Amino acid sequence: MTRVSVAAPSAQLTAFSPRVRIRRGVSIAFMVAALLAIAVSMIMLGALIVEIAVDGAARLFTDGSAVGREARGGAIIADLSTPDGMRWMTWALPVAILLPFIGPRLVNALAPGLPRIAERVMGVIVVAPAAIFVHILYVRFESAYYVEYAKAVGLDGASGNIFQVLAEASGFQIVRLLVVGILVPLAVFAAGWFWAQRMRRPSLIIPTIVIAGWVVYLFMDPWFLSSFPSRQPPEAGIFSAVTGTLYMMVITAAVAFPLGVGAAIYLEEYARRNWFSRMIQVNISNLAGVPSIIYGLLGLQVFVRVLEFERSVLAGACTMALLVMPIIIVSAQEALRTVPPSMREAAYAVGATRWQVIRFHVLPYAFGGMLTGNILAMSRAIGETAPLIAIGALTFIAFLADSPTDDFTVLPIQIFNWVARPQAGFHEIAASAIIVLMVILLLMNAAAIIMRQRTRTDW
Amino acid sequence: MATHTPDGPPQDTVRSLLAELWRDRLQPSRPGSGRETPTGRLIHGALFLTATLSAFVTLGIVLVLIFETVEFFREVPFIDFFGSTEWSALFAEKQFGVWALVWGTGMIALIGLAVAIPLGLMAAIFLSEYSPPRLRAIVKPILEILAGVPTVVFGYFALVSVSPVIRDIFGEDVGIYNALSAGIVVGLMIVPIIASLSEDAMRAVPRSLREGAYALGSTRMEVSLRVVLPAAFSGVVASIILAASRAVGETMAVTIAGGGNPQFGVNPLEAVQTMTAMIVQLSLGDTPTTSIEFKVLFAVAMTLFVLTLAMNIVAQWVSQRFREEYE
Repeated sequence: MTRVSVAAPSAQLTAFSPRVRIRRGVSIAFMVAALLAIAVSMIMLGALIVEIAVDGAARLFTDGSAVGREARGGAIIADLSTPDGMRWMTWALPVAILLPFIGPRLVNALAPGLPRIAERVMGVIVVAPAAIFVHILYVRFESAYYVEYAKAVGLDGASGNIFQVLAEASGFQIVRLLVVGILVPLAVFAAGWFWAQRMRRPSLIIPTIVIAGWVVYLFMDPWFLSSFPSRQPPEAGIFSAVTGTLYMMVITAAVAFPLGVGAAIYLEEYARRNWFSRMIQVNISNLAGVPSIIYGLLGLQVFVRVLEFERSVLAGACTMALLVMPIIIVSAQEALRTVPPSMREAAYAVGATRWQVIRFHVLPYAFGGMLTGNILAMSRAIGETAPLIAIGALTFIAFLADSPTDDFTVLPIQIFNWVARPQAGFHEIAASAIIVLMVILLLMNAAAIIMRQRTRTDW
Repeated sequence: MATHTPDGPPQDTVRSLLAELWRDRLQPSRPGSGRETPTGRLIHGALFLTATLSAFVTLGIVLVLIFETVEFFREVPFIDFFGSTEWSALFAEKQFGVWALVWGTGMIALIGLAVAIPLGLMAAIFLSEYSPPRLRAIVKPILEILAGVPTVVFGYFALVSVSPVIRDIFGEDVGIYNALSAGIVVGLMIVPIIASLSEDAMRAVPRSLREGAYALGSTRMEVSLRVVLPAAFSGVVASIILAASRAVGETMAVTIAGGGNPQFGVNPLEAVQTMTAMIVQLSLGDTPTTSIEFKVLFAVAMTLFVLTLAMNIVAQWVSQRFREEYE
C-alpha cells in the first residue's frame, strides 16, 4: 500500500512566486525599519540619561563636604551630618516609614480582636518617629540658612548654635521656624494617623521607594542640596533653587487645583450643552497649545506690573497656575466622566440636592483621578523655565525666600543659568542639578501612577 | 435583622445615623435633578466663575499682546517689521525684520519634523500594527518619558552631546551653537506627540478593514501603509501639525543650543535665533518697560501666538473635517 505524501502539495503551496517573495521581504524590512525607529528614540533617551549621569552624578556622591564647609567658613550650625546625627536618622526613617504598615499587622497577629483604641495607640507610636524625622530634616535644611544668617549678623559661626542664632533672629524667621518646626511635624503626625487608620491593604511599594531614596541620600553628599549658588563652580549648590521650586509648587497647586477642579465640575455637572460650554471647552484645548513663554508675558503684565506682585514667588506661581490649569481641567473632567450616571441618579432619587450629589457622591469617587491629574500638571510646572524667565525670575539668589513676595529662583532657571555659561565646570553642576530635577519628576510620576492604580474603581 | 460587615458597625445603625444627620437637609425633592438651596446656588455661581476664568485667560493674553504690539507699531512702521529680514534689536542701529526670527523658528521646526515624522510615524505603525500588547505596554510609557523631560534638559543634551557629534561629522569650523543640534533635540521632543496621537488614530481604525486586506493576501506592510494609514490620515496629519506647533513654541532647548544669531540663511550648521529665543534674550536683560526693546517683545510674541494658534486650529479642523467615519 502506498502512503500518500502530504509534503508534496504543501511544498508546492509554499513555493511562492518571486513577486510574492519580494513583497514579503519588503514587509519584513519595513518591520525592521519600524523597530529601528523605536530603537533610535530609545537610544537617544538613553544617551541623554547616560550623559547627564556621567556629568553630574559624581558631584552628588563624592565627598564634597570639605569643599562645601570651607566655602561656608568652616562651620555648620545645627549640623546633623555628623556621624551621630546620621546614625540617628538612619534608624528613625525606616522605622517611621515601615511602622504604619507593619504595626497594625503585628498588633493584629499578636492580639487579634483588640478594640479600635489599641489601633489608635499604635497609630501614635507609628507616627511619632515620622514627625521627629521631618523635624530633623527641616533643621538640617535650615542649617545652611543659619550659617548665612550668622554671617550676616556677625556671629562666629563655629561657636554659634541654633539657639544663639534664634536669639539674634527676629520676626518672620522665628515665626517660620515655629510654623515649620511644629505644624509640619503635626501634619505628618495627622497624615500618618489617618493613613494607618484607613489602610485596608497596606502596600509596601511606597515605603520601599522611600527607603531606597533614603539609602541614596545617605551616600549622597547633601552639601550640593544645601549650599547657595556661587561664582566658583566647586562651591555652588542648589539650596535656594530647590526651596524656591518647593515654595512655588505649593502655591501653584493651591491656586490651580481648586480653580481647575471647579471649572471641571461646572463643565461636567452644571453646564448645559450650549454654545457657551462648547466655547469654553474649545478655548481650554486651545489654551493648552499656547506656547509657555506667552503665559510668561501675560504674567509679566498682569501679575508683575498691574497687580504689583513684583518678581516674586507669588507672581511666578500664579503664572504657572494659569499655564497648568488646562491640564488640570481636562484630567478632572475625565475623572468626573468615569463616575457612572447611576450614582448620581440614585442620590437624586433619595432627594439630595445638586451640590450634595456632587459633594458626597461624585467627588469622592473622582477625587483620586483628579489628584493624579494634579500631580502630572505639577510635574509639567516643575520643569517649565520659559514663563519664569519672561516674568523675570532671578538666576542668582543667595538667600531663601521668606515670604511669597520675595525674589526667587527655581531649579530649571538655575540649570539654564549654568548651562548658558561657557565654563565646563558650570556645565557639570548643571548636570547634577538636572539629576535632582529628574529624580523629583520621577518620584512625582511614580506617585501619580501608584495613586491611579490604587484609586481606580471598576464599575 | 442587622447585617454585619467584618469591619464596620451594623449597616442599619449607619443608616439611622445618616438619617439623623441629614434630617434637616433631606427635603422632598421635585421631579428632575437640579434642586438647589441658596448655598447650592452660591456654589453654582462660584463654579461658573472658575469655568469662565479660562476665557478670561485667553482674553488676557490677547489684550496684553495687542496692547503692547499697537504701542510698538506706533513707533516702528509696519513695513519695517514684516518687510525686512534683518534683525538687530539690541544694537544702536535697530532693525526689526521679524522674518529673520520666523525663519529661524521655521528652520528648527523643519529639522525637528524631519527627525520626528519618520521616527514618530514608524513608531506609531509598529506599536499599532506589529507590536504584541506586552511590548507595547513597555515601549509606550518609555516613549512618554521623552515627553516629560523638561526642555531645559534637552537644551543641555543638545549642547553637551549632540553638538560635539555634529562638529565631529562636519568639521571643527561648525560652531557649538547651531540650528541642526537644536533641531534634532526638538525633533526628539516631539516624537512622543506624533507617535502617541498617530497610534491612537491608527488603533481606532476598525479591525474589519485590516482583515479584509489580509484576506486579499496583503502583507503587513501593505495593510499598514495602504489601509490603516489612509484610514487614519486625518489623525496622523493632526498629530504632525500639533507637533509642529509645539516645535514652534519650544523655547529653552532652542535658546540654549540654537545660538543667538538672527539671520536669514539656509545653512543649518550656523547659529540662528528663534522667536522664543529672542523673547528669552530680551527678558534676561533688564529692559525698561517703556523702551522699544520691551515693546518689540510683545510684537514678536503676537506673531508667535497667531502662528501657533492657527496651527492648532488647523489641526482641530483637519482631524474633524477629514475624519473617516466607520460604522
